[in-house]
Amino acid sequence: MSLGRKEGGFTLLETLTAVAILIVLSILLYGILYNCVNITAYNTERLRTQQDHRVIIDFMAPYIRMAKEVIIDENTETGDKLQLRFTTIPAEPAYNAIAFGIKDNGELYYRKCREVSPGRFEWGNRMSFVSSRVREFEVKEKDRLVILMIEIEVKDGQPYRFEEKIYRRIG
Amino acid sequence: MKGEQGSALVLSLLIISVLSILILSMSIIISNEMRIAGYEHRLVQAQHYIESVIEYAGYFLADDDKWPQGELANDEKERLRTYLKEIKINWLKREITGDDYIINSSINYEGVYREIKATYGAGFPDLNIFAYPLAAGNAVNINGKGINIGGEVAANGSIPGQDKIFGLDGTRLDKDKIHEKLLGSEEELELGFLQGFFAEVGNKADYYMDSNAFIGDTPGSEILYKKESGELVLDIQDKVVVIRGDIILNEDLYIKGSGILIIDGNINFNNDSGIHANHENGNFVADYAITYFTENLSFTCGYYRGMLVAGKDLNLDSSAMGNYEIRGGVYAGNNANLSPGRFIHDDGFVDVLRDIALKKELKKFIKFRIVDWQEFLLQ
Repeated sequence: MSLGRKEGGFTLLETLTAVAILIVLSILLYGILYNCVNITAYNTERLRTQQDHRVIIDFMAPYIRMAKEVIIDENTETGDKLQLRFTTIPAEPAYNAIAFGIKDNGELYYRKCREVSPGRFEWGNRMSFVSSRVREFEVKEKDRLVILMIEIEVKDGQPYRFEEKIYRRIG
Repeated sequence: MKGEQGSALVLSLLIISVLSILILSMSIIISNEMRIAGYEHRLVQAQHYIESVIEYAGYFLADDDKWPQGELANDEKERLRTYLKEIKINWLKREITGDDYIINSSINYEGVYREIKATYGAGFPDLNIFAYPLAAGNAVNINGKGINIGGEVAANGSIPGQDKIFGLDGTRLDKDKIHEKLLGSEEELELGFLQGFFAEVGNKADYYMDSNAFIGDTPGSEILYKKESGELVLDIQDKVVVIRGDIILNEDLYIKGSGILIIDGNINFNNDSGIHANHENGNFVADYAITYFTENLSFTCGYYRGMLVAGKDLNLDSSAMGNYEIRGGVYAGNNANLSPGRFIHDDGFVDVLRDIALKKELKKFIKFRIVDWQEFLLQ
C-alpha cells in the first residue's frame, strides 16, 4: 500500500486562483486608498478654509462693532477695501483706525493707523493674517449692518464663499 | 514541533496594532476638533455674556443710587450673577464725563476674557417727523404759487394742490417725497410727545414775559431790546422764554440764538412786520430758534432758522420782504396753510432740544444712545 506523501504545496490552479484573487483585491484596495487620499486632501483643504473663515471673522468683528465710521472702497489710492475708524485704543503704540484689503498675491491684510508721536497718526504696514488666498472681498453697509462677502480660493475645488453680517454698536 | 505553519497570531497582532493606531489617531483628531469647536463656542458665548452685562447695566445708567463709588451696587450685581451664573464678573463700573456715561465691564467665562467700554451719550428722542422739513397732523394746504421743499413733506391728512410743491431747483417735487395720509399714528403721537415736552419745559422757563412787553419803544426785559436800526430783538440763547397773552408787533421781531420760545397767545402783525430768526447780514447763522405756539398760529415769516411748532393750525404768510425761507422743521398739530415760501430740512435743532432737556433735567425726554464702543479681547 502506497502511503503516498502528503503534498504540502498548492496545485497550479490553486496558485493561479489565489494570484487572481490577490490582483482583484489589490486593485480594489488601491481604489479605496486612492479615494482615501483624495478625500483626506479635500477635507484638509476644507478644514483649512473653514478655520480661516473663523479667523477672519473673529479678527474683524470686534473692529466692526467698534467702528464709528466705515469707509468702503473709496480709498482707491491705497487699495484698502474697508477702513474702520474708532476712538483711539491705548495699546502700544496706540491706534485709531484699521483697514482691510487684498494684497497683490491674494492674501488678506490689515493695517493699523498708529500713533507715531503724540497726536500724530500714520498708517502702518500691511500684515497678512490668514494663509488662504482671497479671490473676492466685498463690503456693504446698510444702516449699521456691515455685510462682508469673502471668497477664499480652494486648491482643486470650487472657491469657498461666505457672507457675514455684523452690527456696528454705535449710533 | 508541530503546527508551526500558523500565521494567525502574527496576523491578528498586526491587524490589532494597525486598528489601534487608526483609533488612536482618530481620537486625537476628534478631541482636537472638539477643543477647537469648544473654544470657538466659548469665544462667542463670552461675547454674548459681556454684551448682556452691558445691556443690563444700561437700564439704570442714569440712576446714581445704583453706582456707589462708580461700581455697580452689590444687590444688583448679585441679581446679575443669578441671571448669568456661569461667568465671573471682574468689574462693572460707571464713569461720568460731561453728559456722557461710560460703562466698563470685564468678565471671564471658562478661560475666555472679555472687556467692553461702552459710552452712552444723552440725546433727544429721534422722532420720525424730524426727517421732514414740513409735517402736519392733518392737511397741508398750499396757497398762491406754491412752496419749495428741500426734503420731504408728510401729512396725516390730505395734501391738495400737490402740483404746487416744488423742489429747490424749481421742478415739481417727486411724488414719492410727498407722503399724503401716510404720516402714521406713530408720528401723530410724536407731535403729542413734542407738545408734552413744550408743556413741561414751559413750566421750568427762565423768563416769563407779558405780551405788553412788546408794546412801546422801551421793551421791558433784558432779553428783549431794540437795535439802533429800530429792529426788535429777542435773545433766547440757552434759554426757555414763555410769553403769555396776545402780542402786537409794530416792527419786525428778530429771534436770536439757540433756545426755546413758547408763545401762549396770538400775534398781530402791524405795519408789514414779520418774524425772523438766526439770519444776519443776508446769511443764516449756526443757531436754531425753537418756537412753539400753543394755539392756532397766523405767522408772517421772513428768514427763519430753527423749528416752528404749532399746537393747532399753522398759517404761514410771506413777510413784506418777500417769500419766507425756513431752515429746520415746521410742524403743525392740525392743518398747515402755507403761502409761497421755502422749507429746507436741517435737523440741527434736535441738539438744542437735547441741551435744554438736559439743562432743565427733563429726564423722560432724554434718551441715551451708544456713542462709543470699545472691545478688549486680552487682559
